[in-house]
Amino acid sequence: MKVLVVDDSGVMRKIIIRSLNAVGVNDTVEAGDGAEGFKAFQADSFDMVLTDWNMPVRSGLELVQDIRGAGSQVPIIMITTEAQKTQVIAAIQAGVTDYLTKPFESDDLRAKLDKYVAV
Amino acid sequence: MPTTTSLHNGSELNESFIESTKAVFSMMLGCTVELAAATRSTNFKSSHDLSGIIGFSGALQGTVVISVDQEVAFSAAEMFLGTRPTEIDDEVRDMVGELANMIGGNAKERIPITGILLGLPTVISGKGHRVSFEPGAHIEHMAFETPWGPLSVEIGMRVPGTK
Repeated sequence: MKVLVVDDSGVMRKIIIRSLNAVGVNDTVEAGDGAEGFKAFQADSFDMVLTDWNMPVRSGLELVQDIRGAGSQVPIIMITTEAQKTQVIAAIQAGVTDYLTKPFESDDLRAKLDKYVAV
Repeated sequence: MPTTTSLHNGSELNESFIESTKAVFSMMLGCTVELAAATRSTNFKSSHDLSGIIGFSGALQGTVVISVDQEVAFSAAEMFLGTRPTEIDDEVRDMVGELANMIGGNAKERIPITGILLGLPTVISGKGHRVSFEPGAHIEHMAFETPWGPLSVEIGMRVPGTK
């Protein structure tokens, strides 16, 4: 299983990748914003995308729109501080598969990952 | 959709940041932080080593500054990453920015106003650095105790159209 991790914080990417490793996923690619993320997505084949929302250059929401616009149905989990109902609805309408708000406990993240890694 | 456009009082704002700071440390770092003091001032000068700054815009405008000393930053980085830094490098600054992002973002969800926008974090490092707020702004200063040392949260905020 190959996972694309997109977050402008390198520390947050490491935290997420540690959780991915803990559920047996070791093949990961990192990107620091939505534009970099879409470039990486187009250059490779991924089984899941984990993305932040607020990032420079191109946001996570725009990345989701780009990926869905390209016709991909890959599971996308948005991991973000944005938790207002209108924003969650906007993310779902854009094509987000699942949503996790920061801060989170490591078990919460692992439970989300387990759900899609199992598939 | 019902839209709240004002705060009943400043304590709602403070309480949002107190609870968000506690939540971030509890959930992400597995430790408890306690509020040691809360004061209001028009003269703020950071005396910490690192500050993460988050701008608020839209329905609530201003700045929040989260400041820590090196010991707190290194200990938090060790908890997050599994290895202890030996200097204040880009990774430590990134972590402080992410802490500020999560504290600001979580507080935003607790504040009873819709339409608040959060900027990307900026980090300043260096002993004796100074972070200035808008002249005359009322700054809420909250001093917390973490297991590794002090953390401060300063808020200079206003609802547009109010003084």
